[in-house]
Parts: sequence; C-alpha cells; structure tokens
Amino acid sequence: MTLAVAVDWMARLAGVAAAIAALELLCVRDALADHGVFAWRVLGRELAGAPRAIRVLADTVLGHRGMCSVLVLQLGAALALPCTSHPAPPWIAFAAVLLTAFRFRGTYNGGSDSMLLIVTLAVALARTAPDSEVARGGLAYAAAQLVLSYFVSGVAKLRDRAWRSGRAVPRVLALPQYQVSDRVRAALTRPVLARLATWSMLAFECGFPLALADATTCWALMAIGACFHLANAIVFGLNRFLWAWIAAYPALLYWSR
Amino acid sequence: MLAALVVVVAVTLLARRAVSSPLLDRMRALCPAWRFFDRVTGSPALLVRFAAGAGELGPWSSVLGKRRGRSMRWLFAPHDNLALAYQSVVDRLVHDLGELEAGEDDGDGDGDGAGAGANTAEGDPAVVGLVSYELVTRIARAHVPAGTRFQWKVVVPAEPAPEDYLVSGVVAA
Repeated sequence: MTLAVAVDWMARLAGVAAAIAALELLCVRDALADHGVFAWRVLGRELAGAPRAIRVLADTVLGHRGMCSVLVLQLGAALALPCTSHPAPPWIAFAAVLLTAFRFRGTYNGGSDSMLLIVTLAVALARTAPDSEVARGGLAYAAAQLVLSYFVSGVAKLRDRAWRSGRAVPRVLALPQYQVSDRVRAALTRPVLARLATWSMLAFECGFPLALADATTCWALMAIGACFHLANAIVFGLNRFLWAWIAAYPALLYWSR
Repeated sequence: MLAALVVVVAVTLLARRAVSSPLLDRMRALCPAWRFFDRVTGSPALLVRFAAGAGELGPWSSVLGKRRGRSMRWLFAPHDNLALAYQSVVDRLVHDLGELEAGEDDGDGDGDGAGAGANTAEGDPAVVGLVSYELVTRIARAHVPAGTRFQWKVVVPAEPAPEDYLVSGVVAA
C-alpha cells in the first residue's frame, strides 16, 4: 500500500467516524444547552483559575451555540475528508474533536476520542506535507498508537486474576450502563465460553504487534480486529470505537509492508 | 517507525499520571493510556426518587432506562453514548469525593480512608460545590418529571447488597 493510498483510506474511514460523532452529539444537543446536563456554565467553572483570554475564548466557543457550530463544522469537515486532499478538512476535524473532548472535561466517549484525534492528526500532517517524512511520521505515530492500544490493553488485563480465570467477562457484561442483552449475558456466563472468549481476546490483543511483521499477518489481525470491534459495537453499543480503530488500520498496513 | 514507538510508549506510560491542572486534564485525550477494563469492578449507580407537590418521595429507581433504537446501535447510538457520558460523570463524582476525603484525612492524620458509610451531601459545601455534584444533580433532574421535588443517591457495589455512597438533599425541580 502506498502512502497516498493509505492516507486516502484513513481519510474516508475517519470521515465516517467524525461524521457519526458529530451527528450523535447534534442529536442530543439539548444536553449541552444551558438548561441541560452538560451546560457550559457548569463545566466551565473548573477553568476559573485559567488565564482570562482562555476563559473568554472558551465561553464563546464552548457555550451551547458555539458548541453546536463546532459540531456542524466537524460534520462538514468529515464529509469533505474523502472528497478533497486539501489539508483544511482534517485539521478542522482534529480541532473540533479536541474542542469537544475539552468541553466534556477531557473526553466524551473515552478511547474513541483519542483514536479519532490520532487518525485526523495523521491525515492532516500527510495532507499538509504530502509524500514527506512528516507524512510518514504521522502514519508511523498512528500505527504505533494502534499497536499499543491493543498490546497495552491486553497486558493490563493479563495482570488481573479475574481476566486470567475468565471471571471478568461475565462481570463486564453485567455492568448496567452497557445494557447487554440477556441472551448474550447468558451465553458468556458459561465458564467454558467465558474462558474461551477471554483467552481469544487476550491472545489477539497481546499478539497484535505481530501485525508489523508482514502484510499477510497484518491483514489477518486487522480482520480479527474489525470483527472484535463490530462485536463490541453490537453487544455494548461501542459504535465509535469500531470506526475510529479501523480508520487507523491503513497506517498499520503501510508500515507492515 | 521505531522512534515513533519509543515516543508513544513513553507518553502512554506517562498518561497514567494524574495532572492537577484542569486545563491539562481536559487535553488528556491527546495522551491515551489504553488500559480498557484493566480492573473489572462494579460501577457506582445513580438512583433517583421524586414526589409531586408536598407528597412523599416515591421509590428509588435507576436513571438507566431502556434505550431506543438498539438494533442499529452498532452504527449510530447517540443515546447509548450519552448514557455512558452520564455514567462517566457519576464515576468522576465518586473519584472527586475520594480525593476530598483523602485530603481531609491528610489534614487530620487519622487515615480513615474514603467511603466508610453513606455520606449525606446536604449542608456540606465542599461536596455540594463540586462540579461533578452539580452535573449529577442535573442528570437526576433530567430523569424526573418536570415540576417535581426529587432526591438522588449514588450507590456502590457491595456484598450482600449495594451500599449508599452519597445521598443528596431533596431538590426542587
């Protein structure tokens, strides 16, 4: 895969991820209003000690109207990402995702915000300085973060006895905020299936650095990864992780050649 | 590629460190730690109860109702993700209260630790003044009928039954 093809595919997939993220927040924009849960006049209190210029800028950009404008900009940039090689759309998408995370005290949707930032930054660098060391560095950074996201997560779980014994999967499925269906919970509460699911996932996560070895292994692990994220999206509703992670896959494929 | 890996590993390890600056803390999405579900413990839960007019407060119920459009949530899940954001706020409140209690323990030196018995928030300005506390109050308000008095509480997993961790005063809607 050439650098240009990798960047184009990252842009397409990041466009999907960023568009979904913006549309979802626009759907629940009442929660961002002054009468809503995430009113800026509440969230902004934590910046009371920040320099005045930052507070004024934040009040302007991150209030309800400003935030809705940011989200519309993000949506527009996301739709433009696959259509033009101009550097503006990825930079706008990056800035909008960062502003959203900033408004929500660091993150709105956890790791998916981070991966989307990484991918849009890589695309922005590549389109600002096409076919340069900067572009290759941006993809290297995205590929490195992708590998680490699986490997660190797998190693961290391996250190926990609940994961090694297979008892963690039923506990995660029982967490009420994910509203996992009763059928799935019943199936994966069985010890044999729980252990099988656990060790399959741990083997995938801890073995993911092998994707750098050659393109065939990379494709295989990416296919497993896509299925893993799709399963998480269906079972837990973690839809943003699916699109944010596969948007980084072309960077890994470029570097695995 | 190797240089990128070294930088990323270093930043990922540093990402575990807490930062005191609210500005820097809000930028933490740039430095992910990637430790998903590394410790599987039960989550604190937010319950609410309400009463119309001067009547008695009703039974406690969870703010986690059945969500709409579940068949397409692998693609588009605005309400699921909003609910997860609400849960993050509740988790953050428990964390902030733990830090408050740790700070108090450091002050009086008796080292009792956090979370022993339910804390009643009413009348404690240090608790009520937390941004997390106000956000949780707003989440609770969003889950009761308009114009009703309500009360919320955060419960934490325990054996044999969940324990009250923090109980709010009764709030006018």
